[in-house]
Amino acid sequence: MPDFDMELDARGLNCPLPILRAKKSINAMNAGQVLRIIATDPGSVKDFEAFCKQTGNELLATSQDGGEYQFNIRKS
Amino acid sequence: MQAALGFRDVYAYPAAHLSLTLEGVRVPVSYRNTWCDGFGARGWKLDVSRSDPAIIASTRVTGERIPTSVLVHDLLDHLLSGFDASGHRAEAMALVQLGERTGSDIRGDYLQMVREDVRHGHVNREPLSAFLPAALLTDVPADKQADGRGLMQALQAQLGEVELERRLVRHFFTLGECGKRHAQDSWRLLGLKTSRRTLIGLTLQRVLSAVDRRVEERGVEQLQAVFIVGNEQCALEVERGNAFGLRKRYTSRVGEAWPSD
Repeated sequence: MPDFDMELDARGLNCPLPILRAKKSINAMNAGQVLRIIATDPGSVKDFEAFCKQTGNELLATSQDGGEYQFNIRKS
Repeated sequence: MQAALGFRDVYAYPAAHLSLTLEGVRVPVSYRNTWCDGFGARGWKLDVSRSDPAIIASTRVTGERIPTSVLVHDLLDHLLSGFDASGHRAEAMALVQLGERTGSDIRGDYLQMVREDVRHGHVNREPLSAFLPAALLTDVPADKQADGRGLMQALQAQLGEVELERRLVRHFFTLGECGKRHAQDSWRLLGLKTSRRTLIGLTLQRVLSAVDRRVEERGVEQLQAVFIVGNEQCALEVERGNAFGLRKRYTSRVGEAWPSD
């Protein structure tokens, strides 16, 4: 079972587009559901930390593998 | 007289958002290390769109295949071309400008808006039934047209998913073409040459990159600045820049390489 409800492929997108796409995805989800984002922009690490801090959504996990970053965010 | 949806009169902006000088068009911008706007991103916004909840801040970072940042797109292809900062209709028209300015293929951007927004019944700044071409609505009962999601379901049942998507993308291209004349007129009214816009875009990107890199390195919390957009040179004037170890003004001639500094 995947540990997320929806996945957003933001690979190849640079700041600020991953955040923009993530916000749109989260708006379409229910509270408690988890969005996984895969991104390649190194700036997305700081951006998603700030995004979650500001929106109250929970940044469950951040990981990096090669040039890819994964973020799991639970909608508040 | 009310302007048509998505269009703006470039002469109608207050000086706090856009003004003309002999040197070029002055456009105030603001920088925040983190914007309290529901996105939280670092970067710059045109002052004209600071209160628009759909606008996210942009840094110097360009697209992978397009040598322009979102901020330069907002400035050249929306504001100076006479289009709203947000909304699907305005974006359709601004993307045509982006495509002509950078040579990029905008079909993917249209397809993304179709798949992520319009197909789900979402259109910004106007009802879906007003956004769609009249020809698409002729066979949809009036009571289904008020609800965006229901309208899209009815259209999908009629046309099938592939044909509906094809028609919606084609509609974006049609809308985009509707803005070409207005964009040319807007640039002319501002004293700018559309024949120079590719080079102007690259020059603005260079200036933005130079300042944004320094601002990020120095950990600046917030700044006010003004873009000056001209046919011969572009600049970014930074208010109280010396407080952050920045120059008062960063200038680059249009079409020339960025001088080492």
